[in-house]
Amino acid sequence: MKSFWYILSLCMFIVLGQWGLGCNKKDDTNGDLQPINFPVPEGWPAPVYDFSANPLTKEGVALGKKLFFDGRLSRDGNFPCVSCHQPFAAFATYEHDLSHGIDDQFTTRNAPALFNLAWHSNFHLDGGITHLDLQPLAPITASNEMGETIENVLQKLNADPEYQRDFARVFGTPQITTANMTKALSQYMLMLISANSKYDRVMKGKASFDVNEEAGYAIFKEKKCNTCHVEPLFTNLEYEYTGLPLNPTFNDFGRMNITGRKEDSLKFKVPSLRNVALTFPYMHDGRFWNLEDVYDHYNQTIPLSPVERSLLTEFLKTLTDEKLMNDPELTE
Amino acid sequence: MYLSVVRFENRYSLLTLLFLVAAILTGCQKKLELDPRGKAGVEIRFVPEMMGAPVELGQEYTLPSGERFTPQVFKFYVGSIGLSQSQNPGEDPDQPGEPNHPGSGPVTGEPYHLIDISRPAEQVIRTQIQEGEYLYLEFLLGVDSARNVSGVQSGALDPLKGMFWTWNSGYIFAKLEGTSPQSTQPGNKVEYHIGGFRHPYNAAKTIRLPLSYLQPLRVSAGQTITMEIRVSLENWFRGAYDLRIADNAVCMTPGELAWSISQNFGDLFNITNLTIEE
Repeated sequence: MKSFWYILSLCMFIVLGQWGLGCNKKDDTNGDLQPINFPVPEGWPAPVYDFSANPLTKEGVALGKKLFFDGRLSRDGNFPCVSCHQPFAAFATYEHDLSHGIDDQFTTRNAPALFNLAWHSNFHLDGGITHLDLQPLAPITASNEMGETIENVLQKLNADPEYQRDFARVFGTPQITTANMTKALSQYMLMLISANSKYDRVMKGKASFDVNEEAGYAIFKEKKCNTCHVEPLFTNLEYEYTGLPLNPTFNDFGRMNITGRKEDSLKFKVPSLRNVALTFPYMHDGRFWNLEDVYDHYNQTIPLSPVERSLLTEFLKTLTDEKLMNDPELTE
Repeated sequence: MYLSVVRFENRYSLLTLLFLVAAILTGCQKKLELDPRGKAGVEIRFVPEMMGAPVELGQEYTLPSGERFTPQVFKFYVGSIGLSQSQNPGEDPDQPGEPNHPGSGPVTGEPYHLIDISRPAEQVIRTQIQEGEYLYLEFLLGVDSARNVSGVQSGALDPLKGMFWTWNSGYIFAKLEGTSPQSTQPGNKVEYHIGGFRHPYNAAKTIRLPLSYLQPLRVSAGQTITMEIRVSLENWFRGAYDLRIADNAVCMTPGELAWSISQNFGDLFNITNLTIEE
């Protein structure tokens, strides 16, 4: 009788073992993850990022944020992503035409603000990067930015048991690789959504412009600023020539550097006007310190009277999104 | 749970242990998806040569053009390996430069391999094909455009392998570095990083090598075809495009020059030895 029970329990055990000890560890660890349904603001186009290849979770976003703020992604430990993409400047570099990289070097372009990235299919002002997941590899390896190699970054992260635990939890393996590191960073960056400005509340009927803002919005449309700065993203995501002469210090031909086509010479990606009050200086190399300089530049093609300029500026200020700058889940 | 079962009865402990081992072994064994029926093995060994002799990194050679060149790095991607039954070169008309496999196509293993001359152990690729009759070996020298734009890849295509342009997303399909007195670059450097998937300068090249000049090669299930492919490095510099180090010692971006150099790649490879083993 004893052996009957023994055999029975052994059989039970083996069955349980086969069921529980499967090779797919992913399922075991993913159980306690909190999935995030990417929140597409009402009336916006569909995002282009493929979330099925990188399902968002609360834990994944938190891990991405940790990486974004971690200096170990740079060679000397002093240049985390956040050093140039500062939350209080809508994730651009505040008050800097060019940003500071490793060994007292300058970057060659104005750091773009980071938000609404799920709607972008190419990155950098010349669109050279074809996927959000690939984007972090450029600043990490650039000799005048973070100055590190991918191999070294992975080595440093893999040596940290806390990161191993985090990655095991989010991706089902403690092994930190190029792919899962960049996916974690993407999860965080995707959640930088700017859709809660006064403008957005007005559009939803939950607030109203004052007379100046209203008049500024009318000028924005009447002067066809929205040809390139298309609502609701306030960019057409295209590459345009703004009439700026070549800066001989950098010899930066923009989109042509990538496509090799003459017609793309000096074309740069249209930046969003969202949070424009915080992202000065302006243009791809930060050569204009304030909006007045920008209006002066466009005066040839889009002349504005002093009053029109002031009103337009009042409207542009309604595009500032305090929530993006102050959400503790994303900024601290 | 294990412990309680082990303690269950002492005299059964040996039996229990055996069962445990059996349970763990069977529980975590990966299922081999290869159906051995109908499959033949393929083993490809790349043999890099320069002017008829195995390439020695760091040794100076005189190229057919008379220019001198000391190779230091030579790496390239090989993908989508397959044997073809068709007489027609396989190229997808919609995507120039992309291979179109009328034959068996790749069957197992990683779709891409990085061949690095400094790592002889990695110059061998093993894969499997369906038994049948074949005329050509085909592979892509480079990386297909889909994998250039669909995020971060792993394995041989992991960007940390140093064959990826981070600022202009895309793979370096083939890399040849060294020095030459004819180079006008600092330190007499010679650096050719050939890649680019954008039309019209898609530098990925379908390589098509005849297996037999007389009749189709018959491969039966269970057999293994072993091939040695000679890589004639001097042909990097000649063929469709006459590459002179004095004129172009450096090519680091996708575009016309990279594409022009890639037009020479068809003549880099030759099957020099082919055997079929039971």
